[in-house]
Amino acid sequence: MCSYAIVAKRSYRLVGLFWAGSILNTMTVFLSGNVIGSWGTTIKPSYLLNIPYAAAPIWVACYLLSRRPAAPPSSSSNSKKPSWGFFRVVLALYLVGAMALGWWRFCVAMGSPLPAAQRWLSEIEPYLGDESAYPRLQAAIYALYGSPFQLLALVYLVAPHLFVHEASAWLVDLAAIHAGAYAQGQFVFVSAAARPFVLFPTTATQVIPAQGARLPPRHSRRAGQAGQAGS
Amino acid sequence: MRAFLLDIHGGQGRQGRQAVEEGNVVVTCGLLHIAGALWFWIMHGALALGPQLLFAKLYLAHHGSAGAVTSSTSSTSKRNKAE
Repeated sequence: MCSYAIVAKRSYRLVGLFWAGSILNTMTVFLSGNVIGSWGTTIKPSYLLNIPYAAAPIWVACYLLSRRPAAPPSSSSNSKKPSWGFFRVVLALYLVGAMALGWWRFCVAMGSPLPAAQRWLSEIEPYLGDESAYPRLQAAIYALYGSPFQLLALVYLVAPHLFVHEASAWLVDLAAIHAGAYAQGQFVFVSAAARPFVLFPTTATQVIPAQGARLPPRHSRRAGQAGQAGS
Repeated sequence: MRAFLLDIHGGQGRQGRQAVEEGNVVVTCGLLHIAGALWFWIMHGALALGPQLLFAKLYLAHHGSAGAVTSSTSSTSKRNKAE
């Protein structure tokens, strides 16, 4: 979309911020997770090849944020009042829930000893405790970077008169970065959590029906059943 | 041979490991994955779609007045041209 907008000489500012947010999120999780996670001892010099890929979205975001279009002249927001439409209420409730959920999952990912956190980790969302550390970092980013913005957006939804035009323009830019980060983060998180998560005891998985999985031979099972019946 | 139908979450790894160690063949079913983990999709779907809707709301709230200004400006220029 960025390429099309550039070729078509259209504004690619918000699309670029969306892209920068998604890449910043993935590179933060990826680079940190490589060092923190279970593969931290196998880091190779090729790891440094990621630096340009991580620096590019930062430069693009700074470039785009420094080139904000001129503000419309009649946008003095002092007269703005919150119109409590259905969509606004839903978004406000979503933001409250997302902040609470983000902080709770952050506490779970950080290894809270609370019984509810342990239950969440063992029975509800075991992927948060994955050895790769990627889900833990993603939860931390949601809580530490996503929640402050969500709080800001909630304040904007509840009391828009507190925001002058320039501040709300910043909020739209941050919303684009935030949307890109969450889209990328959720796509990767859900894809990773939804993969076949059965932990077989050996790396050699058994193909059905070949040999079965640690099944004893059929004749021995019959003998065992006969022995049990006899006893 | 017993087969286990496991959902996508809820200690799937623990149950799967236990089932295999007990000598069973573990069979997973994609349809049950989705149906059994409805909360999973609701929670993560909201986390994925919420920011997009929020961005759309903020964008429209911010640029709505700009659109009105643009349209009034264009109508003014049209009127000037007509005059």
